[in-house]
Amino acid sequence: MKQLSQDAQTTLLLTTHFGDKGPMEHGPLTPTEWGRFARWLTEQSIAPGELLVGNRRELLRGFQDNKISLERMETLINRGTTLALSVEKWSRAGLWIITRSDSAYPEKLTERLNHNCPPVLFGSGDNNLLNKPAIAAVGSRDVTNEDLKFSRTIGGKAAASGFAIVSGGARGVDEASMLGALEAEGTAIGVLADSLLKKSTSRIYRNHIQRKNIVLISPFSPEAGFNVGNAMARNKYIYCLSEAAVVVHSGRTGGTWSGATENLKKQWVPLWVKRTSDPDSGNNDLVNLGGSWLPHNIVEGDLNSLLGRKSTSNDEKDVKIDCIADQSNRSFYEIFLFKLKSLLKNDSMTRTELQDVFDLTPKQLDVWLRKAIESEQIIKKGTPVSYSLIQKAKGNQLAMFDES
Amino acid sequence: MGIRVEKSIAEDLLRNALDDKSASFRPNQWEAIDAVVNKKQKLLVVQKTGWGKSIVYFISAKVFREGNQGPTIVISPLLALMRNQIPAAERLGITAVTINSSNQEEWDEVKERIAEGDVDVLLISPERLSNDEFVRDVLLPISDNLGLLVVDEAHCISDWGHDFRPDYRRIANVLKQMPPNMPILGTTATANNRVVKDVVSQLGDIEVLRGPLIRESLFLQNIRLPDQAARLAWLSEHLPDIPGTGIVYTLTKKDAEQVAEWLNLNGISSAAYYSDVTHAGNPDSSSYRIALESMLLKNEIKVLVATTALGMGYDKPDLGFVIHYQAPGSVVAYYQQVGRAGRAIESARGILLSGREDQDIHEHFRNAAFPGGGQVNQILQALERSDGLSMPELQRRVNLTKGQIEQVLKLLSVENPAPVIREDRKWLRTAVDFEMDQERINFLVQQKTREWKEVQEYIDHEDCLMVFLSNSLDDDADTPCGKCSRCLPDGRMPETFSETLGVKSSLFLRYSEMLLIPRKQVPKDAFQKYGFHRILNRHGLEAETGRILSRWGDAGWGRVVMNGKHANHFGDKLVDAVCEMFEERWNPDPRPTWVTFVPSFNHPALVPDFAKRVAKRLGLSFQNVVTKTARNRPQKQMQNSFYQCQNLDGVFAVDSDIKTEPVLLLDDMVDSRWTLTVIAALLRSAGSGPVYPIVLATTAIGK
Ligand SMILES: [Zn+2]
Repeated sequence: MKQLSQDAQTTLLLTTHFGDKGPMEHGPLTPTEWGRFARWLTEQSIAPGELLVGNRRELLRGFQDNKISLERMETLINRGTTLALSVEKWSRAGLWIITRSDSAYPEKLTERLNHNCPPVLFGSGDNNLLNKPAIAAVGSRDVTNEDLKFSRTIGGKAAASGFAIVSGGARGVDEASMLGALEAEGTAIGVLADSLLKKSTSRIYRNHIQRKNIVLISPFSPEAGFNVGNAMARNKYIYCLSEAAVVVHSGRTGGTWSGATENLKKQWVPLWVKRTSDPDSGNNDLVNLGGSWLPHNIVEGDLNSLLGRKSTSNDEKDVKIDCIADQSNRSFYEIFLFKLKSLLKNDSMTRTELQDVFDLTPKQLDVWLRKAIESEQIIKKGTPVSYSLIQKAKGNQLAMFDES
Repeated sequence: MGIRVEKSIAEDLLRNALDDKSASFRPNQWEAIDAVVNKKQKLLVVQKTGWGKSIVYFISAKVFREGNQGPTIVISPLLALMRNQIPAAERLGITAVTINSSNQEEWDEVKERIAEGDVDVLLISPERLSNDEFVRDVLLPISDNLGLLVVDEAHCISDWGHDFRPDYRRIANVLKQMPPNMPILGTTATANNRVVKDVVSQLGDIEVLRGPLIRESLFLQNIRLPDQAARLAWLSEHLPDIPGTGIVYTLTKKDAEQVAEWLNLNGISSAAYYSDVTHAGNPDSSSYRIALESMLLKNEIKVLVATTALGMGYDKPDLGFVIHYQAPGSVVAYYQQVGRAGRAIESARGILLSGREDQDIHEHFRNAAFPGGGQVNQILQALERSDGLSMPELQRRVNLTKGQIEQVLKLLSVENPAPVIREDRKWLRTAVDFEMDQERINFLVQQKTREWKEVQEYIDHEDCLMVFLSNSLDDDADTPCGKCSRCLPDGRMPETFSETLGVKSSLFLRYSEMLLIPRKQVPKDAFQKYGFHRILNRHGLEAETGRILSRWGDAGWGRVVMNGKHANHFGDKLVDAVCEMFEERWNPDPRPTWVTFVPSFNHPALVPDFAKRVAKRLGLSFQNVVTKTARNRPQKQMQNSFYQCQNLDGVFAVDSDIKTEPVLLLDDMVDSRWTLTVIAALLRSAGSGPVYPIVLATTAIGK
């Protein structure tokens, strides 16, 4: 059994909820709090492990933080026996533990989340998979058979395109997409919010873990039970470990929704939304908020097309062709307007950027932009000149091109 | 952090504890307290029994508590030790409680007291720590703020220790993960340099405090007496001459029972002690064992006849003698056992008797210590096909005894990483690749063989016996002790015994038949063809309590039975023996009027021929009413109840028209008792009276 380094021991003592202890007077540091404290330690050139052997009062002189009292740290750091009993059990179950300073810690998380990334990751399986290009597949637990089948297909598709599937490892879309990848001899990453220890021993994943096809990780104690807060909190890690995300089915509230909207807000990775006939789904809303419809023919194409910043021109063409096929009575200007508005949904764009995307003659572009401004669809402002959407007009115009 | 104690304060605490104003620390006691309290060190203390380790951890616990730290946990394998220490702790104003298998009814109350912060010291047995449910429910709720962790008999952590205990492998793995700000105190009275080195290398960063281990009051002597009868005679003749009370160690439970019975017959008050010994007056084994330990402590019996289940940490200051009825497996183990004697008295005897059977028993122990690869694979495969199995579920899926399954799971589950883990009462297969560490197993088996050779050298050693023991413990002493049988031949106990006693003990061994307790319940779904109800005695289908004449191959009748079986004929001496037992020591009531037997394809004439002669001698009628109708696999290949029963289902038939009077059912060998149970049930169903089974020998292990 590998002994944890003293640095790792300190990190766990200060940040981990061991077992179901209920509320604690001095709870473990949150990722952000740990981030602050770790930064201070770095500035003082103190290794975390020194807190276990040196004179702590002396070492921590000068550290001041409203939330992190010395008393709180002392309480946490005294949990040595709890740490030993827990770590022995987890390592006995074949789980590993990595902290932010370990070389095995996935760079994608540190890059995208900076000091908000989880201080400790618990895992089972091959941790090298965490650095593989991956497609996130997300969706509700209870979905239609069609959606389940689709999730499996996306999993297989990811495998064929050389991507791992990263998901939340829950029932439904998560499990189906991961199994789809594994059945196609691909790989998968499960980011769990609870029960890592149990899941790693389950029949569906155990063999794949041993064959190094899957890695299950969790930022929470491997024995933590289900908890809504944790489930929400781990969503960001799913997106941050991927290169693009596919939402199979989302409600208008709940885990999938909150994860997807957080990703849209933070713009970690392009968000692709599967079309659905379910009127209660939030899929449509996600597209309105900046997601893109997943191309119909994605199951025949290459998932590499999902990469790149938000909607790539390639896929817009797919959308455009769909639109033309469906709405052949539309004029070219109307198609231009549709695309323009979807580009400007989140951000304004300069004329040069638009020129790059549309590949029209400068003159033609100017004519259509002016027409759009005159019809109060967009506005032009500032130096350098940029174009942005007029909010009130958004709904109606987009609806025109919507299928539903 | 910041908890400190000055020597003068600690010494005041010592004086309170001992109720002695002038008391002072023994060598190394203060150093140990200073190391764990003030320096938060990890420390291994190697000191002889009685050095006073409990003072060290009680005083440390007290200091930690006064500094607002949580309780101290003491892991110790001895129940009595725990009980005895509680009053000592009270004098220090320390509340010590114990949680072990013997006080389950108090657990809830104890847990509550722990949760409320009333407890200063919690004493637990090593297997508690390898019980994940206990860790979750009791330890984790208090482990956030422990004062100190104490591990008693810490030599068990080492593979080089004479005493391989899976539970200590788990303890070592927990200690390895203990961060440097948590103090640990390991204690042992039997560790040579190699063991100490191994413990240190496993735990890392641990200091060692070592004192002299040799006990000066011991008179050592070795006597070879190959026959059990001779050793019994020797004991009954000479034990009364040895002052005080003491322990006689045997290698097996049945020897413990037999020796205790013999001594009692000869007016020497004694009792047998082993891991699952029970007694009618006590609710369970552990409470009976505690009662036995305390009877010896209070000198209420002359001798406790014990297996090594008694030993670790047994701390009776005035133990007058430790006698080995059979030779122990290693010299270090021997010293640990014999070193319990004479702690606070002028002189005590350590006598090692060794016999012919010792060699075979140790070989059996060595072979049984580790399960075969086949057993391990069966269990792992069953678990691999599941999302977790409970013990009964596992028993239905593998052809292994419950004991074998438990042994395999124990050995596998203390590894780290381990291929199996227990969660919510189910065994789960982890995602850990597993291969038997054959090299380590070979090493351990060879190690035991080497140790056994060293014991032979000790028995025949020509020079000072104490120097021999001292060297094997790497203790400094090398001057002859001046009192062992080699240094001072005149101080020896005689090696002879009276002929009369010798004859009496031979007869005793021959009359040592055992009760045959029939099965009363059958496993669910095991008898599809017979369709027996699960609870036989509710339907009058059970056999009566019968008799087993001997143990296979044993002194007494066991060897005669073995020879008869090999010659395919049981001689008239055995007929005499069975009839004498039946008429003179058993006399079942209502008395059987006829005799029948268990048929066999392989030896069709052996048992019926014998049964016919027994019937004739007892004047009963002989009836051939049971037939074997199908060939089945040898019953000894069936390892657990379910398979044993399934293997018998539909195999025997009983004539429909049989006598309705009580009947004697004869067979030569018994192991699982299922064959007799099934035939008795068939006889009862066919209308017979009560069925009394008699068998010549048992092959069951450990009985
Ligand atoms: Zn001597």
